[in-house]
Order: sequence, then C-alpha cells, then structure tokens
Amino acid sequence: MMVDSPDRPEPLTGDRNLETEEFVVNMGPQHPSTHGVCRLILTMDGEVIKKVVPDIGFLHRSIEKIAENRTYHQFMIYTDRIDYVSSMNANHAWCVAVEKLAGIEVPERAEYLRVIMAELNRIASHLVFLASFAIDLGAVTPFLYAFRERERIVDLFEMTCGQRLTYNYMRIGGVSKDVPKDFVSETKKFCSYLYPRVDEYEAILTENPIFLGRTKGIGLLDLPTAINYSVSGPPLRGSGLKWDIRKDEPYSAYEKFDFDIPTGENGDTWDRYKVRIEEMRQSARIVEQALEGLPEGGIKAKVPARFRPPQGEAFARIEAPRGEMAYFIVSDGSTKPYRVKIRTASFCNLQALPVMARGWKIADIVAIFGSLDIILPEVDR
Amino acid sequence: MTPEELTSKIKATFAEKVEELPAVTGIPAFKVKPEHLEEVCTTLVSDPELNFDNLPCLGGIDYPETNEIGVVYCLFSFAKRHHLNLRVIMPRDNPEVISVSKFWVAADWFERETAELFGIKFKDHPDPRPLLLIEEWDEGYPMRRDWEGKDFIRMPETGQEK
Amino acid sequence: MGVVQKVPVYLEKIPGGGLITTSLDAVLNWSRASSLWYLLFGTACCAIEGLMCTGASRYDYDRFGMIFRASPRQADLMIVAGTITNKMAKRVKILYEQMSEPKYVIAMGGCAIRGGPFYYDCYSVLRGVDLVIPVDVYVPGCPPRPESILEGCLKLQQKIKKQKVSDWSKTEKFIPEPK
Ligand code: SF4
Repeated sequence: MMVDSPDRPEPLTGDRNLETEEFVVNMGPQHPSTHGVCRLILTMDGEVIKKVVPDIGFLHRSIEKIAENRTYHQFMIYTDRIDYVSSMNANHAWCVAVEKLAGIEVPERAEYLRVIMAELNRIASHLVFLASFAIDLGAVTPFLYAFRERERIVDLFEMTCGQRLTYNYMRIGGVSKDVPKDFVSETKKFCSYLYPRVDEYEAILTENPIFLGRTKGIGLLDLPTAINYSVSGPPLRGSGLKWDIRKDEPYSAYEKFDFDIPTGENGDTWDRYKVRIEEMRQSARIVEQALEGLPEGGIKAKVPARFRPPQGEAFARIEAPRGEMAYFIVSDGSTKPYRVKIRTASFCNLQALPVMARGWKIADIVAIFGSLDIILPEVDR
Repeated sequence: MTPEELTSKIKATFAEKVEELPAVTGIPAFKVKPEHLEEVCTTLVSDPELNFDNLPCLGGIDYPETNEIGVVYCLFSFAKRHHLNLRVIMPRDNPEVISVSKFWVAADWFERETAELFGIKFKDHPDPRPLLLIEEWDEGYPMRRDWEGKDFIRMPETGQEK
Repeated sequence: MGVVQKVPVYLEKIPGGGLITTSLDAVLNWSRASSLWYLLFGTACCAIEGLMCTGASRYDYDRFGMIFRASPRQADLMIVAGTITNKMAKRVKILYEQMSEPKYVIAMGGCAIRGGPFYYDCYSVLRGVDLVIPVDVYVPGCPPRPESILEGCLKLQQKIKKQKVSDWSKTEKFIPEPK
C-alpha cells in the first residue's frame, strides 16, 4: 500500500527513545464496529498505529458478472443490494445511467418522486451512520433515538412500495407506483418532526466533551490527498471542498431546489460527522420543497419489457449518501448490458483510511473508520 | 473547458498518439496505445489547462470476438470541471499496461481488482496482491466473458432476453 | 458441559432418577431459552434488519432476553444475517467453533439459506451457510421482516425447550466439512 505521502507530519510517536517493538494486530473480519465484514491489519508501535492495511473481499458477490447476465430491468434488484442502506439512491444511479444511454425522457412527477425518495433515504442512511458511529464511541442513547426516527422513514417507504430495506421502487423511465394519498401529508409531518430531533442529537453529541475528545482533530484528511484518493461525499466536503454532484452536475430535478452544501474546515472526524448532521436538515428542506411543488402527470415513460438500448456507452454519476456512485455501462444493442462497471463511494473512501489512521491511537481507528461510513457490500460489490 | 474545446485541445496536444472514439454521453473519449499511456497521463496531470486531478473510475472490458481486452479510465478535473474518458486496448493473450497509480493513488485498488478479475498486468504497481477473491483462487479470470468455472451455474432463460 | 453431560447418564440408572433429570431438563432449558445471547455478526443487507432494526427501540430483542455480545465466546446464538461468500465461509466456521456449547444458529434471509439472489451467475458466493455449519432455524425473506426474525427466535426457544440433557451425552453435533 502507498500509505506515505511526503508532506504529512511525523506520526505522534512521542519521545523517540520510547519506541517499542512493532507488532501486528488483526481487526476483523467479524468486528462489532462494522456491519459488514472487513479486516484491518494494523502495525502498531505501542498504542500508536504505524500502518493500516485493509483486507477486503469478504463480501464480494460478483454483482458485475451478474449484471452481464441479466436484462436492464432485472438488474434493478441487484442495485438495491449494492448499497442497502440507501437503496433508493442506488436505484436512482442505475436509472440515470440507463436513461442517459437510451435517451429516455422521464415525466416530471416521476423525477420529483425520485428526489423525494432519494432524499428521505439519505436521511435514513445518515441516521444509520449516526447510530453506529455513536455506539462505536460508546454512546448508546443516540442509537435508540436514531432508529426511532428511521422507523418512521421506513414506514413511509413501506407505504409506497411495500418493502422495508430493499425497495426496488424506481424503474427505467420512471417509478413503479404512484404514492398513496396520505403520503404527502405524512411526509410533511415527518419533516417538521425531524428538525427538532436533529437538534436533539446535536444537543447530545456535538458539544459533548467526551465526544469532542474522541473526534475533534482526529483522523485528518487534507484536501489534495482526498482528491488524489478520489474520496467523495461527506469526507470530501469535510475536508473543505464545496462539491456536491446534486448542485454541480444536477441530475433528475435537483436544479429546481434550493439547498446548501455544508462543508468542514479541518477534515477531521468531527467535521465529517457535522457535515452529515447538516445534510439531514438540507435533505428535509429538499423534501419539503419537492412536496410543495409536486406536479401532476404520468409517473413512467413508455419503456418496453424487452428493452434494447442503442449500441453505445454511458457514464453517469450521482451523489449517494456516502459519496459519488457511478455506473459505466457498455451496451451492444441487446437486452443485456455488455459490461457494467460500478463505481462506489466506499471503495475509494476506504482506500484513504491508511492515510487518515496513521499516527493515531488504536482506539481512534474505530472513530475514523466509523466516520467514513463504509458499507462493505459497496466496497466489494 | 467544454467537451468540444477539450477534444480539440487533446487532439492538438497529443496528435497521433491518441485516436478519437465516439463520445460517452457527452464525455470525450480517446483511445491510447499502451506504450503512450504514461506520457499521455503525465501531460494530462501536469498541463495547467487540462489538470486532471481526479480518477473517479477505472475498469476492465473484454472483447473475446476480436481477441482484445481493454482498460477504461474515467478522468475528472475538480479544478477545471471537465471529464475525459481514456481507453487502452491490448491483445488478450498477454495484456500489460503501465500502472497509473503514481498519478492518481485511487487507481491502486481499481487496478488490483482489474488485474485479478481480468488478468491484465499492471507494470510497476506498488502492491500487486490480489484484492477480492478467495486466497486460494485458481480458476482464472472470472470477469472475462468466456470464463467458465466448476461452481458456476448459469441462469436458465426466462424468455425476457430475446 | 462435561459434568452436566455425565450426570444424567448415571442418574437414569438409579430408581427415580428419571424424575431428577426431567426437572434438570426443565430448569436448564428454561434458562437457556430465556437468555439467548446473540453474536453481533452481520455480513450484508440482512444485518440492518435482523440485528440493528430488531435490536432497536421498536422491535426490541431484549423482551426475549436476547442481548448482543461482541465476542463469540460469550454468545449462544449466531444469527447469520447476510450473504456468506467462499472467502468468509472459513471464518464463519471458526466463529462457530469459538462459541461455547450449547450453541444455536439461525440462518436469516435467502442468502444464508441457499445463496438467494446470488445463486446463479455467481462465482464467489457460498450457496447456503448449512454447507459449513449446522443450522437450527431458517428464516426466509430478502430481507425478512423483523417480525419474522422474532418469530424465528421464538421457534428456536420452542426447540430448546424440547431438548433433553441426556441427549447431549449421546449425540455429537454434526459439523460439515467445508469444500
Ligand atoms: S437475503 Fe437479500 S437482503 Fe439478505 S443478505 Fe441476501 S440479498 Fe441481502
């Protein structure tokens, strides 16, 4: 692994005379701080991390191979399972890519519904992050609080598409069903319920001295390194770059909504946490605006069951909760894609872990790893 | 830069070293010979007008009919906000290309994955260990299109494929 | 386990000893069934539903005396939540062996039962966790709802309550060889 970049400060090993013999600690594959399986091989000098080598592939499910043997419609269910914490966003990325490839116009109502679902899912995903991050740092209460709110979002999804986790809601050219009639009022209620709850989390965590001690200034990631490692999403914004594909390369109906892009300053663990908290508020704002302006009309463009996109290639990326999710599709004009390359955010973000973790204590690696919000199936695919 | 400006700029800079391909949904695409890749990438990174500082995606692609195999590089520039798609096509028997991880560290894992699943060798890779598959894997390169393994079951036809 | 296993063998021979073993069964089974501590081991999508949602406030495993344990040595129950790949299979077996007897396994979701959506066209997924470890209860779904995983746990409790201590001394648990 290339973990050394010349311009990084010396690791915090303290007095050189106290240097001890190096030893190797194996963390994982089954480890309580990950939901998913990842092995980290840590080379330690006393309590200080000298080197981290992630060992992945424990959840490699050959989804890219499967994609070559399924039709474009059939592959939709696998996108749910690549990023199961935010299935709607993964669905969305596939739809955007295939629609770009075939030049399909999506009805406006469908675009709005997609935005609503994707943003609700972003909130749900950040709540899972908050829950697992807090529990990793030893705070159990936010776990219960966050899941309480998440259940309400899941109820909204269940109302619409009947599933709790793997929604399979979007279709090429639109969405599968229209929302039921109480959906709009229920979602509005949820949004107004969410703002005070986010304040509550902040009251518990943001200024909590123990939490600050565990996160502030820990796991620094500077911006040039982040860009070179292709880090994206909240870790990139936490390092100070105001970059969000929803704003900078808008897809779906995102250009119609008004929202801010939160950024951090130092690129430490706390910044990444704070960016996500702020994103929840912004997502709720987008949902409210979209519900307000939800147009009438069709929800699905006409796409035949034996859908054959023209020969060609497409590259489309969207902003998923964990960062940039992209599909590169090569079509040979048949009903099945010739090649699908899935670019997921966690894959690149995890690669930057060795840089962030070097020089910190072993207890900090849990915080740093948690702050990246890695989903292992996304890493291994 | 707009895609048109970028296309003409790249053609002017590299002349016969690159060959234009049909654009990938608006992104200019070029084919590069494996031996020119290092030179092209050096210029792409260092030229202040091109300034490609980010590599969002890298993947292999297999063409058994023409007995070729390729690598696709999707490049992006945060500074200039433009995309580029590069492609290297090699013969399928002993594909070898220079590793680009010295330009973009992000390529490190992408290349390990591609090497393992497609059997493309990346010269000068800093850490050429396998990445995803089981440690004692010995069944070849599963992402090649004509690959067959002993545990591999194809899905029966559902009738939707025709 | 050693002593507990031996006791019924000798007891059954004395007149009236059967009564003692039956009461022993009842006590042991009751305590085992009502304190199923599960191992925090989730691999894929099912982990969110089976371990996190069900453990959180709305569904709440604690009602059934189930608490999560981070170490296999303290756990009685392994909920295999998610896809098991060939690479992971060996590690699952090690985890299972590290758990102390008596131990139980729930296979949750299509993947753990038979490979689920990854049965066809897939070169790296183990088609069913029962190829490497013995399974007590299967809970189908992709992912199963929290209600169904709770139902699975109740089924397991019923199964435990039917156990006989004397059976433990006779039968070796079957552990399949990994491929
Ligand atoms: S059964 Fe379905 S939800 Fe569960 S791990 Fe497998 S694919 Fe994911």
